[in-house]
Amino acid sequence: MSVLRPFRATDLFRFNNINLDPWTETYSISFYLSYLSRWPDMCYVQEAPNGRLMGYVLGKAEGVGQEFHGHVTAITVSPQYRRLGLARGMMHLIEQISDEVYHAFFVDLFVRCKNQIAKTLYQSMGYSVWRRIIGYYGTGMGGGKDDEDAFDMRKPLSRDTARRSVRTNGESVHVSAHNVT
Amino acid sequence: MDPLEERQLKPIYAALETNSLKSALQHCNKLLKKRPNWDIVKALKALALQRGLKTDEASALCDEILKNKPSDESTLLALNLTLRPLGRHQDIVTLYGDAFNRHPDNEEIGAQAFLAMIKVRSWKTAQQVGLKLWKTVKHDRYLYWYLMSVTQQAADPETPEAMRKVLLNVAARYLATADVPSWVATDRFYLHISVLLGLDDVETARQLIKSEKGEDLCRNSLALEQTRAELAKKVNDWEGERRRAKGKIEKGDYNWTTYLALLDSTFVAPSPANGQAGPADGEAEKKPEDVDELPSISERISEAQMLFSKLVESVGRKERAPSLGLLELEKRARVEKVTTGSPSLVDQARVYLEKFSEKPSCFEDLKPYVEILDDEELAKWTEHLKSWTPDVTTLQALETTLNIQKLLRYRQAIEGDLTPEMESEQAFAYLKLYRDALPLGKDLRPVELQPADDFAFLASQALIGAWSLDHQLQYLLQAVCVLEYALQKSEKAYQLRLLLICLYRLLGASSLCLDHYRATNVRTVQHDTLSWLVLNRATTFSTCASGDISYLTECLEASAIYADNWTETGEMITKAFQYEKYSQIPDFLNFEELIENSLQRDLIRIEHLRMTLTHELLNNVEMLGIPQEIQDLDLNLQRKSNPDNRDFSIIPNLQAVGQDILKQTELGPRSKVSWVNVFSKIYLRSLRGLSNVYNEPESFSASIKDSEEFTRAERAVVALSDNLLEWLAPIAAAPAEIESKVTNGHTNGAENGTTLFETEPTKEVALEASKQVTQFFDDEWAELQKLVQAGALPWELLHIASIALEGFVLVDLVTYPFKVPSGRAKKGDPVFQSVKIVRQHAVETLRKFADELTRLSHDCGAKPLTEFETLCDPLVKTAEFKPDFVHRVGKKLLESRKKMMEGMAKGIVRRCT
Repeated sequence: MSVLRPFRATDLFRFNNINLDPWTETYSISFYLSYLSRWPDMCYVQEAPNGRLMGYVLGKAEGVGQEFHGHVTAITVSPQYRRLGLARGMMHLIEQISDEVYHAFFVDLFVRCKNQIAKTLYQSMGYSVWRRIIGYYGTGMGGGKDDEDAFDMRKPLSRDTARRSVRTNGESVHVSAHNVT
Repeated sequence: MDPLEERQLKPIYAALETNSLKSALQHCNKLLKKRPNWDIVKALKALALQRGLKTDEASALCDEILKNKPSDESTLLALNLTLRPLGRHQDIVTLYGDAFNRHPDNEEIGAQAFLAMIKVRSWKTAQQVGLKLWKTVKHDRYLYWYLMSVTQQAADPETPEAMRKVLLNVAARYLATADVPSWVATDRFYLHISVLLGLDDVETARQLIKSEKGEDLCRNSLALEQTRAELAKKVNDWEGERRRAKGKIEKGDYNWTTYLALLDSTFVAPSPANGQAGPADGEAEKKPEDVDELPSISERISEAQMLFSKLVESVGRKERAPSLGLLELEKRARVEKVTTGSPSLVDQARVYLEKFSEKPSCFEDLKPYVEILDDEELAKWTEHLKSWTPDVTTLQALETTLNIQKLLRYRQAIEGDLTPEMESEQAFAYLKLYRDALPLGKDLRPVELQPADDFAFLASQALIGAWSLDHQLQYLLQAVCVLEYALQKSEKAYQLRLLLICLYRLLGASSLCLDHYRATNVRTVQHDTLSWLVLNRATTFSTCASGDISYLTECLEASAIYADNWTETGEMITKAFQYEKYSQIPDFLNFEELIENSLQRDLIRIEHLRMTLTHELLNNVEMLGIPQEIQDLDLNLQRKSNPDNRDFSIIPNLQAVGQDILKQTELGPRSKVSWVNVFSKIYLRSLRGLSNVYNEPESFSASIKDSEEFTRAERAVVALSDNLLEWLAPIAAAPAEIESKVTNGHTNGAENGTTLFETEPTKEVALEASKQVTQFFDDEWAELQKLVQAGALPWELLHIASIALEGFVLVDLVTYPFKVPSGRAKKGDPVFQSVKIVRQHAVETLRKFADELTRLSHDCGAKPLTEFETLCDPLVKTAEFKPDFVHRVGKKLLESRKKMMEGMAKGIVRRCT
């Protein structure tokens, strides 16, 4: 139970309880506002009835031709509000907008290879590993290769009738982080 | 530009691109030798100078070029890039405005002119340029740029009502006759509706939004959907909203906004004006034909109840919304005194708890409902909670136990029967649970949060609760140990760390505060919302005067965001126009102003100034940058609003209802606008005094009489500032001399040939007037002794000492121009003599402060460490803390405090020499 609403610039004053979490970065003002100034319909927050922010998602639409897709740049939920299905609610909305507004072919996101919980969650939502991005997270938090590399996970949308954004051997397709934007 | 010129300029551009500023300047100078008035080269030279931080030279060169009113795009761009970081936005407006007048068909110049006008909020000129652009370039984007500036101009409170109407009417006409309808893009549609709403044309707005295209857009835009709902409420279409929400919920919408829409329309009160339900303010009067009557309230309640109950059955534990919907329904029915026939609120809360006790949010979900339970219900509820046996053997059981403990604590009796012993006992019970639960996270890495963290958080809050009841230091010290211990296990548990910072501040361990604060890795915009944790009353902990500038540095680091905001947000406002995301623009503009005028910004500024003035001696007056400080303080006072963006919710309150963990741990009352204003004024007049500028006598003590933002000592220093002015009024520069401009540094009025003495006071008169000034130092000294004797907290002692030092700084500032006799002022003059006596007295008293602080710093050695260990012994005996750990925490704390006390003592001696 939470209010799912558009991310607003002034939410930057109130996202500390989410961003002080070790896995969530705080970026410059331009970072957040550049998303809002271009893809406001891909940015949402989940808010508790008492007004506290619980989590947020920032996404964008990018790529050309059949690579045109919705991308989830950041999705995060404060530890206090986990296991409530909040991420699922936000992902669902991003998929709906990517499909119906942007007519994208798929939605994708990057997840730390080590983060098995997140990987399983996204798999249950219809995402599958498209490729492994080597060194995407830099040095990570001391958890070895799986902590440094990311899986690019994709979910086909209605426009991807041929399901080109799904492949079975994604985990063994490796690309360097330098070749990924 | 001809190809030859282009070739000549190429090396300059190349040098600028690689940031080879020296080379760029050389190329420019070479070309300028041959052609001294070549604007583009001069503009590029200005850019190179600005990038090399030679701002004065860059600015002067810009002035030269601006006189020529250049209009070629390259020169304009180079000037734009130079003037922007110099903050000369108005010049950019004029530059582009003039250029666009000369080249009305140049889209690029027009667009730049428009965006420059937005930056300085010049809506009137912006809308003129926007309209002109649209008419000449014929691109729809510019119609909407124009419309955006119209809505902003209309929203400006300074725009007269009649003008507002005219502007919006014209805008609406343009929209109605536009070739391309607004619904082609969500944000254009949004702006269209905003224009109509500005005109109160609810009917047209509703027609648009209820059209097929409008409904389509609403479906994929939560922002538009919100506007649609607001419109429906404006015409009292509560029944429509009720049905819509009901339909959405039936289809599986769990957004609480939709639930609230159903609940609001279920409980809306009928409006007497038209028999329809309506908002209390009676805003809506007309009843459009398409609005249906609401069924009776009992019917509505019954429908909502049935719907929620049905969903509760079908969704099970997957969704909380239907269950909370039922609770909210019951709560509202209780307010309206309507019976629902549902089980009682307590029973429903019990059901909710049983269902969702394993969710970490369960406590917070239930809080609003538990809050309204009456005594009888509360007894029943508490009995139920107590019937649960604490269990921390699994993660699920741990969450349940945490929720139960938090709920029990939340409504525990606080008046009268809660004793410190009970709080302490409670804390140790939490600690037992904490230790029992720790094995659940034994395989987690230190960077991951421990599931048991909240038990340690509860324990520390209970100990702080105990301390707030009887102020026995043992509880506070134990809380420190608990937090340090839990942070060892879970180093990223920020809530624990932030609370620990508050405790270390109370205990005077200032270096540890900064260490912990830096470990939270506060970044960018968080500096505005979180720096209060260490910078609120930071002067109390500043040992700047002894050369340690760590707090000064923290002020500077925290303030960087204010400059970033100005460039970054401004840039993004431009981007929002370019990408036509009009729904974001009012938000961005608001955001930019909230940071620009932030209260925290001014609080930091004042703390920085207070610290700097203890750091720098006045014979180093150039170092102080007085003119800039005066300008900044003036700015503080000129703000139309001073928004408070500080995030005080970041440390969750786990105390019982009515108690507040922040209030219990804050250093004195919370400083806000009144505090900023008075301290700005005090320093403004003191610095002006230093520059020998006449100050109109004004009593600040009287103005803060009823304010709750000041500590006793701060009130005393405010009074001191008043008394200083009164004492020196007879010898201060007369109003006639204020013409003399503020110069960089102090100038003695006598040297300027002004008359210092309007009257010739006798030695007795001067000394009598100075009595209250000297009294300040005596009073603060007496207060310090009293506090030391009473065993006050270290921060209280440091606060008095830092205020006494601040008092000396104020005396120093105000009397500095009279320190050395010159001109007519003779050595034997009574006022000069009184100045000398007062300064001497202040110095002597401050010396006593320094001696006392040095003595206190010795109290931080081995003996107090043993005392620390004794006071924390219960943790060793009952909670299995290792003696070695307690020893280490105590040692660190005492060392940090010792450093603080010594630093302040040394600083006082250095500053008062």
